[in-house]
Amino acid sequence: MVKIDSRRSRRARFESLCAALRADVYRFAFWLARDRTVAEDVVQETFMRAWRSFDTLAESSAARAWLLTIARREHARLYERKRLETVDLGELTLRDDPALAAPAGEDLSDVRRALMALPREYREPLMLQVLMGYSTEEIAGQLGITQANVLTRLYRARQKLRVALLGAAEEDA
Amino acid sequence: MNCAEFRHQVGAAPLELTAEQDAHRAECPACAAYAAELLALEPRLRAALAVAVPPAAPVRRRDFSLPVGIAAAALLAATLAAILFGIYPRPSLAAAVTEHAQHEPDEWRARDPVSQEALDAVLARSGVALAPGAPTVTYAQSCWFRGRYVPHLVVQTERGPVMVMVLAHEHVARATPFAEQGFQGLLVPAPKGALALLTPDGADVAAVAAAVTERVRYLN
Repeated sequence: MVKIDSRRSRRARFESLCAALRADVYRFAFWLARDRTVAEDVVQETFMRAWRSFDTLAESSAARAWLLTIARREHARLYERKRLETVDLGELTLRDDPALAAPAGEDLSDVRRALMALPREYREPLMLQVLMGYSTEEIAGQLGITQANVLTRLYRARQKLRVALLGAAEEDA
Repeated sequence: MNCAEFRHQVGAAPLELTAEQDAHRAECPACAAYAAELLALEPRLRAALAVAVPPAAPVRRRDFSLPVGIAAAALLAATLAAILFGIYPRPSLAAAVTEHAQHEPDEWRARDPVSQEALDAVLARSGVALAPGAPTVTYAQSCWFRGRYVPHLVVQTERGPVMVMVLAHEHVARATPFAEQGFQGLLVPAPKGALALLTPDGADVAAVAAAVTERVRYLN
């Protein structure tokens, strides 16, 4: 009986985690992959792996970072698999995504196009900061790089966005 | 603090100005304008990054490793499917189509024709093809919808864009117009399953339904 209750409790906690963090994991995966279908696959794989290693999650406050780490690995795995079937997933997505074909104007499609065009090394910390609300120190921990490196990447990301969206001149870093 | 240092730090974290940065901003109009520019960009970045999240799909699994075993894998998949479906109850078909359209607002803005290769790939994923002569397709995605990947297209008409979803696994007894959330829609029986059509601008969805019905081919 105790074991059954324990399993139910574990499942309930996992359900709660899925409900609370699915949007974050999906958006994270989307901006890594720049492709909705790949993002959905990453989300599914992430939650499957998370369920299998759920006991290793010590504190629920660490759940989001834990899931994003799993999602990053799953994206890498999936990307490697899909690269075998496609020439260049990034280029194909950029070329075929209808959001990128939208007419110019002051709307989100322009911003999304500019974000998609950012190199991943700039896009990922920017997403963690702007969307997930992480501090530069937390981002450094997530990505396994120094905080100074994070600051530089974020600065360069915004410089590229200024150039792309506001027509600003590129500044020296 | 000089201007270069200020710009580097503000460019990295425009919402986290220190007292020193604030002081520099107060005495340097050029840097103040720079900071204002970045601050104004932040809400747009946040909104653009917050892409719509599709409803949860049931878990598909390919490589369950032993010794978990088939029974345990099936149980786990069923559990997760129940979790994810339980969170998102199944709506009516018309409501689900409308909700899906609202997740992808960019579809209505696309104007350039989708390449034939991209369109064919989206259709083939669901075992469907379109014979030549269909209206110009300006948006084509393979979308997870009520348990299946389905083609989600937008075609252009003289009276505006029309969304078309090819739903080979849905059943519609008869042509059923509907209005949801400011959209006008139509569900129609197709040679296999159904088509769902939606317009925000009062376009002739029945004409598009007829054109697509005539040209849709089911490969399986």
